[in-house]
Amino acid sequence: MNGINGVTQLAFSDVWRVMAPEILLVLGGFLILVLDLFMNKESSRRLSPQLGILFLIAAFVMTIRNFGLVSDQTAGGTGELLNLSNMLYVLDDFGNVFKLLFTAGTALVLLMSIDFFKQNPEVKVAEYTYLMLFATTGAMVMASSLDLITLFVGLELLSISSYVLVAMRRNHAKSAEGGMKYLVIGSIASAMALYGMSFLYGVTGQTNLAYGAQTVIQMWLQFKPLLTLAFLLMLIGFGVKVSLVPFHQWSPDTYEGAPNPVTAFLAVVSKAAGFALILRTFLWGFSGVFGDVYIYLVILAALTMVVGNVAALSQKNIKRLLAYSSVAQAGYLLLPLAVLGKGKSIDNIWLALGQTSFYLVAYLFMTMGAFAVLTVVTRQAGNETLEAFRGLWKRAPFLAVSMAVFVLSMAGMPLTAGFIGKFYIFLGTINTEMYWLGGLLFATSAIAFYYYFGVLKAMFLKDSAVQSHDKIQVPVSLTVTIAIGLIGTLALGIFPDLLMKFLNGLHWFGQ
Amino acid sequence: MVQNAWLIPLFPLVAYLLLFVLGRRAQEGIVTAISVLAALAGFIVSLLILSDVHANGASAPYVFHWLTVGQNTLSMGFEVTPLNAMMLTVVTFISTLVLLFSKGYLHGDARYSVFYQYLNLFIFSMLGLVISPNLLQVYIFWELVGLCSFLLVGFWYFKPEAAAAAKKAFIVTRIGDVGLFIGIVLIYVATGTFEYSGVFEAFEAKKFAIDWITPDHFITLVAILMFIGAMGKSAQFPLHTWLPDAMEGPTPVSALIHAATMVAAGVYLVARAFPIFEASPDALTVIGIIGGITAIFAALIGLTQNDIKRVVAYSTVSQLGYMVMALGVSAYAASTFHLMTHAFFKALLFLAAGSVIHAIHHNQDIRFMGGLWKKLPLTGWTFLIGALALSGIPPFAGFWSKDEILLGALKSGNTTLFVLGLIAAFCTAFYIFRVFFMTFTGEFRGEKEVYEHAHESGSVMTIPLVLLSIMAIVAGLLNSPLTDHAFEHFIFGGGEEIGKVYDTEWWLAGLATVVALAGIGLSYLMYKSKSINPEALANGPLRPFYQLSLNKFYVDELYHVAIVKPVVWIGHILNFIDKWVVDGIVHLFGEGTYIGSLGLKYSQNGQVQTYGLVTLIGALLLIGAAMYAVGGVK
Repeated sequence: MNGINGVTQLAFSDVWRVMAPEILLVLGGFLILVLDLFMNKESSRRLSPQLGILFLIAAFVMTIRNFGLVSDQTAGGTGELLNLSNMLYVLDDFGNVFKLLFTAGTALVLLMSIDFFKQNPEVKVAEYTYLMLFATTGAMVMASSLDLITLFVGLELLSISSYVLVAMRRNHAKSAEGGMKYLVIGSIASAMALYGMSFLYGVTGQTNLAYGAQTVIQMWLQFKPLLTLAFLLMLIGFGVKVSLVPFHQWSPDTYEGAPNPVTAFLAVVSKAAGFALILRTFLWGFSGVFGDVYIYLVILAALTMVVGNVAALSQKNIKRLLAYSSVAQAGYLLLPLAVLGKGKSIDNIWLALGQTSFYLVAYLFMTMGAFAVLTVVTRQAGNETLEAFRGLWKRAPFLAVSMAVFVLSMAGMPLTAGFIGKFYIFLGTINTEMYWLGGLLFATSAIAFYYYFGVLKAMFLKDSAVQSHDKIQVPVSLTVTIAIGLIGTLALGIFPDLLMKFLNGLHWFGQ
Repeated sequence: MVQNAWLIPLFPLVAYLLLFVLGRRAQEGIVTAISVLAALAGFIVSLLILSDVHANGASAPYVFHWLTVGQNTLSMGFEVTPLNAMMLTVVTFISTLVLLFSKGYLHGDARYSVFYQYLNLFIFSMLGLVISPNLLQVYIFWELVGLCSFLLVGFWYFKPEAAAAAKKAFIVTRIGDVGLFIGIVLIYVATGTFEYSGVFEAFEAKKFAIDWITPDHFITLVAILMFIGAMGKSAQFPLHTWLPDAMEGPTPVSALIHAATMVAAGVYLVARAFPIFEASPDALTVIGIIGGITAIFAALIGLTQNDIKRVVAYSTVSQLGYMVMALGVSAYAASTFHLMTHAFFKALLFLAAGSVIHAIHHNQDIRFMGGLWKKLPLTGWTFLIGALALSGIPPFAGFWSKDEILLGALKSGNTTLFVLGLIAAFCTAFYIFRVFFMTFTGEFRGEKEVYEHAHESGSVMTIPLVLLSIMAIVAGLLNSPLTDHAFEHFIFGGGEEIGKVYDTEWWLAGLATVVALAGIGLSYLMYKSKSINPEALANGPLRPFYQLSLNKFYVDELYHVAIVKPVVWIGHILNFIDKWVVDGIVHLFGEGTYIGSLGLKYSQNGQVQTYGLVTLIGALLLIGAAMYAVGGVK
C-alpha cells in the first residue's frame, strides 16, 4: 500500500474493506436520485423510502461484517489499525458501534417518514430520502476519520443535509424558520470548529490526529494557551451540534419546526455523530494532555444537565419539552468523557466508551419510540401541547403504555434501558471519585422526574379532551417503530448484559 | 421448596399480563378469577415455603449473573429467610382477600379490569421487593411499588383530590427515595457489593474502601440515609403527610397498599438490613425518636378527624411509628411481629370501613353515620374485632405485639419512649372506639333513605372480613407465652437472637390493658352514653388543642409556607431575571447586531441573532476564563 512520494495508491478492494457501509449508502443515495428522474412521481414516492431502508440495512450488515475484520486484524497482532491513506480513515470497533447506531437510527427515521410522506404530499420524497442517506454517510465519516480535514467534510455533509431536511416542508412557516435558525447557528459552529482546527494545525503542523497527538504533548508547555484555545473552539463548535449549554438555544426552535422524523433524526443520529466526533477528536488528539483540559468538559456537562432539566420544567409544548430533555441527555452523555480527566487509565477509557454507547443505544430506542407516539397523538389532537395527551390511556392504551415506558426510561425508572444507562454513567463518576458530578446527575434526574410526570399525569390521570369514541388509527409503519422502541427499552432494562457483554468485548480502538 | 420461591411473584405478573392482553373490556368474573387464583397460588406456595423454612431454616440466596460493570458483577435473584417467608405469606394472604373484596367494591366501575391490572402489578412488585437478595434489586422494586401506588391512589382521577393526592404521594416518597438511593450507592462504593451478606460482613468488620470519613461515622451516615428512604415509604414524621391524603384511592387499595404491605416496606427494609443499623447506636437512637414522635403525633391527630378512612390512616401512621420505635430500641422480634399482626387487623379495619362506605353510598364522614349495627351486623362485629385488636385488648392480636414493643422500650431504658407509647396507646383506643360508637351505635345522622337501603354486601365482601377477623383474634397468640413465643424462635431461624428479647412482664401487660380500657371507657362516656359532651370540650378549655389536632398540627400549611412558597418565589425571580435582565441585556446587543445586519431581516424575527449572540457570549466567557486560567492573558 506504500505509494510514491508519500501519496498512497489505493486499490478498490482496500477501500471496500474499510468503507463498505459508506460506499453502500452513497451508492444508494445516487441510485434514488437517478431513479427519481426516470420514474413517475407515484412510484418514486413509494419506492424511494423502501430503497433507502434497504440500503441502510445493507450498510448495517456490512458494519456487522466489519466487527469480524477488526477482530481478525487484532488477532493478527501487528498492532496496526486497518486504515486508508496513512491513518486518514480507519476501521475500528469505535466507528463500527457508531455506524450501527447511525444506520439503525436512520432506518427507523425513514420508517417513521413513510407516514409523514402520506400526510404531506408537497414533500419531495426522493430528495428527502437521499439527503438522509448522505447525512448518515457524513455521520459515518465523523466516526471513522482520524484526519481533521475529512472529519470536517463529514461534519459538513451531515450538517448541510440536515439544514435542508429541517426546512423540507417549504410552505410551512415554522419549518422554514427552524431550518434558517439551524443554518445560521450551525454555520457559526462549523466556523468555530474550523478555526480551532486551524490552530491545532498551526501548532502541530499535522492534520492527522494520530500523529498530531504526539506533537501536542511536545508542544503543550510552549503553546498551552494556543492549544487550549484550539480545544475550546472545537469543543464549542461540536457543542453546538450536540446542544451543550450555552450553545443549545437553536434546538428547541429547530426541533419544534422540523417534521417529526427529522427531529428524531437530529435528536438521535445527529447527536450521536456529534459525540462520535467529540470522543474521536479529544481522546486521540488531546489524549496526552487530557488532564489539563477535561475541566471544560466538566463545566459544560454540569451546566447542560442543570439548565436542560430546569428549562424543561416550564415547557407546555411536547416537542420543546423533548428538545430540552434531549439537551439534558447531552449533558449525561458528556459525563463519561469528562470524568476521564481524573483516572484516565486504559480500562477507564473503554468503560467510558461503553457507557456512552450504552446510553446512546438506550436513547435511540426511547427517543424513536417517543417521537413515533408523538406523531400519532399530536396529529389527532391537532396541537402539540401536553393537552394532546390528555386521557390517552382511554383512547389508545397501547400508545399510552408505550409512551409511559419511554418517558419513564428517559426519567430513569428502574427496569428500563434509561435507568441502566444512567446508572452505568453514574458508576463511572463514582469510579473516578467525582462524586459531586454523580450527585448532580442524580439530582437533575430527580428534577426530570417532575416534568416527565406531567406527561404521565396527562395520559393516565386526566379525562380525555377528545371524545373517547375517536379511536386513534396508528399506521403500520409507526406501530412497528413504537414496538421496536418498546422492546428495545424494556429488553435493555431487564437484560442489560445482552448489550454490555458485547460492548465489553470490543476492540474499541483496535487494541 | 425454597428454590421455587421465584414462583410467588411470577403468579401475579402472569395475571397482570393476561389481564393486559384481555384488555379493558374483559368480563368482571374472568378478571377476578384470574387475579384471585394467581394470588391464591402464591399464598399456597408461600405456606409451603414457610413450613420448609420453619423446618430447615434460611438458605443461601439464589442468584444469577445480571450484568458486569467494570470489574464488578451485579447479580439478581431471590432469597428466603424466616423474615421474608413471613412477609410473603402475609402479603399473598391479604392480597387474595383484597382482590376478592374488590369484586364487590368496584362492581360496575368502567375501569374494573384496569384496577385489577394495577393491583396485580403492585402485588408482583411488592413480592419482588420482599424476596430481593440485594439492595439494588430492592431499590428497583421499591420504585415500582411507588409507581403502582401512584397509579392506584389516582385511580379515580376525575376527582381533583385524587389526582392531587397521587402526585403528593409520588413526590413526597421520592424525597425518601433520594436518601435511600444515596445510601445504597455509598454502601456500594464502600463495600463493592449490593448483596446483603457481603454488605453485612463488611459492616461487621468495619472495613470500607473510603477514606474521607471514619468507619463509625460512615455507618451512621449510611444508616440514616437508608432510614430516610424508610421514612418516606412508611410515612414517618415529617414525611407522613402523603399517607392520609392517599386515602383518596379506592378502599381496597388503602387496605392492601397503605395499611398492610407497601407502607410496611420501610419497616421491612430496616429489619432486613438490621445489622447495618445495629452497628450504629446513634442511628438507632434517631430511629427510636422518629418512631416515637410519629406514634404519638399521628395518634393525637387521629383523635379529632371525621373521615372514617382518615382516622384509620392516621392510626396506620401511628402504628408504623410503633414498629419503627421498636427497631430503634432493638426490639427486632417485637417490631416484625407487630408488622404481621398489624397487617391483619389494619386490613380488616379498612375493609370493614370500606363495607360501611359501600353500604351508605360512598359517604365517609362519621358525623353523618350512626346506628349501622342493626343494618350491618357482620361489618359491625368485624370492625369491633379490628378495633379491639388495634386497641390492644387481650387476647386480640394487637395486645401481644404492642405489649412487646412497650416492654422493649421500657427495658432498653428509654422511659420517654415508653411513656409516649403508652399515651399513644390510650389515644388509639379512644379514637378507634370513637369511630366505632359514632358509626355503629346511636341514631343515623345522614339521609333517611340511605339508611333504609343500607344492607350487608355479598359474600365476596364478607368472607374476607371474616377470615381477617379470625387472624386478628388468633395471630397474636403466635408470640405469646402460651405458645412459648413460637414466632420469635421462628424469626431468628433457630439461630442467634437478633436485637434484644425480654421475658413477658405481666404487670406491664396489665398496665397496657388498663390504659387501653381507659381510652375505650372515655370514648364510651363521650360518644355512647353521652355523659361527657365532646362539643363542650372542643369549644371549651381544650379548644386550642382541639384545633391543633383537627388541623393536623398545620404540617401541610407549614410545608406550604416554608417550602412550596419560597420555591415558587425563587422560580418567579429566576423567571423575572431571565425575562427582563438577561433578555434585556442580550436584546441591547441584539438590536445592535440587528441594525448592523439588515440583510438577515427576513429570518422571521430577531431571535436567531440573539441565539448566535448567546452562543458567542458563552464562547467568549469560556475562552476568557480558560485563557486566564492557563495564563494566556497577562
